[in-house]
Amino acid sequence: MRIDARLAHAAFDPAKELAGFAAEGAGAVASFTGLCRSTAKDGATIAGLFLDHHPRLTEKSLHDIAAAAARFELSAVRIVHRCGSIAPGEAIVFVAAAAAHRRAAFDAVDYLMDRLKTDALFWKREDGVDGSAWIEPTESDRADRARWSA
Amino acid sequence: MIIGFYGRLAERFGRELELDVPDGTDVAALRARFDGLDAATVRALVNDTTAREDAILGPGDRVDFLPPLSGG
Repeated sequence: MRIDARLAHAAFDPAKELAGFAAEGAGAVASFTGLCRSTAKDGATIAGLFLDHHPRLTEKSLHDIAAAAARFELSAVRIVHRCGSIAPGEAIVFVAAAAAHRRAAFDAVDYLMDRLKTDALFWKREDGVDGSAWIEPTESDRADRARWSA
Repeated sequence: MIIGFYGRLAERFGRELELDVPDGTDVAALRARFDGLDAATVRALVNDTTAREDAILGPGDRVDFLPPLSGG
C-alpha cells in the first residue's frame, strides 16, 4: 500500500490532491474533503479556525493513521491535513483511498476520518466575532472511533 | 528541562517553559505545579513518548502536555 500523509502549513486545493492521487490498476477511489464552516454549532458566525500542532509528532500521527488503513485492502492512501489559520470555505482535511473494489475504499475513508478526529495530534480553536473556543472531541466522535476497535 | 504546551494549554502557559526541577521529580509532581493538567484528560510525553506518571525527569528531558485532541 502506498502511503502519502502530509501536514499542510498553507491552503491546499483538494481537487488537485484528488487529480494527483495516482491509483494505477485500482477499481475504486473514494475521497473526502472537510471544509471550514462559516457557523459554529450554536449558529454563531465563525471568522476562522486555528489548528495548533506538534512540530514533530503531528505529521507522524498522520502517517501512523494512514498506515493503519492497511486493515482494508487498499493499493494507496493519501491524507493532507492543514494546520495554522484556516478561513471559512478552505479545506481542513483531504483523505483518499484506492482499492480494487468500492467497499474497501469507502470504508477506509470513513475509518481514516474517524481516526483523524480523535487520534491525530491537532488542537482546534474556533475564532468567532465574539471570542474564541477550543474544540474537544465529542461523545459522538468517540463513538464513531469505537466502531472500528473490534 | 523544557516543557511544551499545546492548544488551550499553550494559550494559558505559553508555548514553552524552561524550568529547573528538584532531583527525583516525576511526571505527576510536575503536573501538580500547574493548574489544569489533570492526568485524566491531559496526556504527558517525555522526549516524544507517552510517559508513566511515576517516570523520573532529568534536566535534559523535554516534557509535552497534550490536552484532548481535535483534528479532522
